[in-house]
Amino acid sequence: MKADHLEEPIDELTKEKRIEDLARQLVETEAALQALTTGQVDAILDPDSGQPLLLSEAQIELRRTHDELMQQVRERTAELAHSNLLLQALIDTIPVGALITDSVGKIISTNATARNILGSDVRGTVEAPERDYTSYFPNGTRLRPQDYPLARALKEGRSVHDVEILIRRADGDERTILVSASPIQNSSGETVSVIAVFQDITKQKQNQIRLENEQARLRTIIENVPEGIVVVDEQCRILLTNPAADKIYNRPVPFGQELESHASLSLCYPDGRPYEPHDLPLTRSAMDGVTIKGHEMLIDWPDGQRRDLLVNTAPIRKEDGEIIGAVGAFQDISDHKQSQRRLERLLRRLEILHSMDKVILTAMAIDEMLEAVLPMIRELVPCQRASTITFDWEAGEVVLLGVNAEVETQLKKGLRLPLDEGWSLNKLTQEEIRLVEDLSTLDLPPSLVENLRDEEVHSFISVPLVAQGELMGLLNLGMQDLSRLNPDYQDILLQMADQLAVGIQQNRLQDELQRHTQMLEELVERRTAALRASEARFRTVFEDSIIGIALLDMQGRFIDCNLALQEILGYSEEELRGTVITTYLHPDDIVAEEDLYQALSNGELNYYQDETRFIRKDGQVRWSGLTITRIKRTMDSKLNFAIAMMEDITEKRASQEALIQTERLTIAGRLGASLAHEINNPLQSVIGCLGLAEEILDEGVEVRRYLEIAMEELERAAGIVEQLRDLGREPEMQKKELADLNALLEKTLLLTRKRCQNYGVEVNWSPATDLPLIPLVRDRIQQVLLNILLNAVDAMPNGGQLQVSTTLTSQPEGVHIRFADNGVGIDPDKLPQIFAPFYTTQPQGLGLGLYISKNIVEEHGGTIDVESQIGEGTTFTVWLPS
Amino acid sequence: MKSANSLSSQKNSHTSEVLNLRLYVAGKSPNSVHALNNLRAICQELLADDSWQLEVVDIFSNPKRALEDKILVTPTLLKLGTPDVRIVGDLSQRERVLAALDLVRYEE
Repeated sequence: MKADHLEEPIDELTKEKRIEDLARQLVETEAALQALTTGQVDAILDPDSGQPLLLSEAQIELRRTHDELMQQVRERTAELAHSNLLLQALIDTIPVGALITDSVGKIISTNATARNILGSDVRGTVEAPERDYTSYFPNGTRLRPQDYPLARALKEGRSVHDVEILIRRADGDERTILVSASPIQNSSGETVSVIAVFQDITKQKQNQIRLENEQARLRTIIENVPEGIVVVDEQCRILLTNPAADKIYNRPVPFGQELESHASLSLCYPDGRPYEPHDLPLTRSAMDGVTIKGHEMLIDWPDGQRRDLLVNTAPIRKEDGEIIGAVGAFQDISDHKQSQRRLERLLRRLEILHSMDKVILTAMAIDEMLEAVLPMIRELVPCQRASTITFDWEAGEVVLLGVNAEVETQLKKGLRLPLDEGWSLNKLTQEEIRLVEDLSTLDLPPSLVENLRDEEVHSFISVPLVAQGELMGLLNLGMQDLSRLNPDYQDILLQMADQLAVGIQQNRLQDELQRHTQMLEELVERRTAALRASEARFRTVFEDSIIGIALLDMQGRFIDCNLALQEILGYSEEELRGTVITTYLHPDDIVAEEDLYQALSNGELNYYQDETRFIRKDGQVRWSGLTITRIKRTMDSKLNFAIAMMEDITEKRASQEALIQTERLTIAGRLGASLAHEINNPLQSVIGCLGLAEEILDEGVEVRRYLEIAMEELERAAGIVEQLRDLGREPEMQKKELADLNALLEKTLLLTRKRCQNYGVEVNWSPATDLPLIPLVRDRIQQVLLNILLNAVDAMPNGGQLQVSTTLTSQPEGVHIRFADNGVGIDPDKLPQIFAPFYTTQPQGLGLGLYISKNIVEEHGGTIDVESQIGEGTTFTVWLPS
Repeated sequence: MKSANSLSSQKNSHTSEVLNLRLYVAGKSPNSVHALNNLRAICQELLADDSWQLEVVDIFSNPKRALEDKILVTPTLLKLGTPDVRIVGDLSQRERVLAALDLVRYEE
């Protein structure tokens, strides 16, 4: 498509052809271009030279260059990635936290340690960081964005070092971090990045606080401990003292001065030698590394006081063992030492007192005791001599009982001196210690004073020995002077004097006891002799008694018996011994007697008395009065022995029975007059009745009523006669029958009516209603009632009143019959005897009435009692069981 | 073109004049080889052997002829005629080649 081709003159056809040609060329060119761009072309021809240029070669060259470049890029990239990786790993591994920003403060990286410390990642910018924690200055003020080291380093373009920041994390944990930040600048000095690194110093911080607290505590302790604390350096120059140490030194402390200055502190060994400063415990610890414990020393205070110190010192070493000084702890133990000395003295004192006790307890004689005790006293209260004296009041002398002296003494045991005023006894009895400064002021024999002076005794102490208020003697201590006495000597001496006095007294008592024992032995001997004599006497009584006496064992066997008993029974002693007493009794009495003996051996009875029949060896049956008494030897109530006393009462009993009969007759006699009247009365009635009956019989009137009365009266008379007959009759055992006691009483009252009238006695009869029938022997009971009634009438010679009554009793069931007169009464002395046989107050009586009555009542299982008052009357009460 | 259109659509029709083709190649360069192969394949497929004629000109051995035919790049196919038709490329785009050579009518 050449320009000249266009400038050619053209016709229409040509024109059209040309357009068509151009279009075709255009299409061809387009297609060619397309082929070119799609790589379908192999070569290009130079339009001028026609020289072809092969396209494939150019491409190969180009590709080769490209590939080389790409290879280089890949290699560099890999290197970069590797170093990046290393860097990141490094950053992540380092033990410090790291924050990295770009040039404008955008936070581009944090490492693992940072996230770990902060408990959060940090993003955003320095001015507006995005994170989960808050930051504070150590004083508690919150950090503003511009306060961050990162921000400051970025802004100021220089490093910021060691800023302490408190982090309060989202999880509540608090951490203290120490932060430094540095800008990173390129070659032209522009800041391209800022890196902040920080470490977690929480633990160090806590340790620091702990350490500070520890120090504060230590300081407080040192300031307040009771021990004096002194710290010196390795040259033993004093660095520090606490208040207690200042107090112990009690003078200005030479702080920081050379060792020699310690001499001014006046420290001494326990024996009083002053310390060389080089030898002081603290010096030795500081210089030689010696640890010294429990060292005792003295310090002299400016005021002259000497104090005891207890010292502990130890070197102070660094970790590598190098000595950098020493510490000393001082204690003022003066009070303690003093107490200890006192205690030791006290202990010794107790020990000695204890020994004295033992000596006093075991010593038999005063001499022996003093010999042991006096040296002990001298040990506790040092003196030239210690002696004990006692007083012989009768001889008016002082006796030296014992002495213990420093030197040979002329004034020895047994020395006697006149007792004079010099001893001031009245003072001594008041248990006071007497101090005599100068012997010569006393009124003592000159030779004595001289002897004492020879022993260098110029003063003395006198301690009274008092036991149970009695002055036993004196304890005297002779000494050169009184100035060197212990402060507690008084206590010691008084205590020892007490012991000594007790010892002396004990010794005396022992002597007395011995005497007493001897006396007692003599007495016993005398008594024994007397007893033997007494026994001999009793033996005689036993042997010679006219009453039979036997000693029985628990089974009633003869152990011993006297001659009288052998005669009563007709057996010899040999025959009787070992046999049982009841075997000699009448067969009818054996059972009763055995029961009684059993009761005795059981302890139910102490003794019993009985009248019983026995059979002699010759076969005679005789009556005996037997009394058996238990002899209680032990606490046990069982019978050990019994004494039997036996008397043959056969004759006595016969005469007594005769007497009873006589009494009965006497009573009958006494009744005679009364009876005559008693019988006469019904007879008169009968006669009257019969007369009346005769008269009215003639008139034809009914006479039965009169006849009945007459019959009754006659029966009454017959009854009276019958009773009289009964009274004279020999008593025989009659059968009991149920009887109306009221009727019986009325009948008896009837019998005595006349006699009562004669005596002017008024009888008041109060029978009990619904009285049961009582089992009794009618005649016998009537005899009792009659007897009591007659006695009552006799007791009222000038008339009076007699109350007669019956009463029912329930426990036990029975009847009381009461006879109460207001007669003369019975003398209380005689009252107990009125039931005894042959006891009477009436001249005409035999004294058997009440005796018989009692027997009869007791035969019925009843009782009879009497109460009486002189001038007021007597009451008899009979009780009979129903 | 009208004459071409009047040609029979049959392969072996020899009614029209012979198709005269000239292919400029750069030795055995790949695109040149592709272009020759593609052209032969099309012609052998669609035309009877006597109805087409191909001259292959290597520019390395005969650059003057390229300058005469105003050839600037290889491969370039020249359909001799009035006017000449030129196709640049490896002739892999069959439709375009058929269109340029006016052989569409032989396409089945």
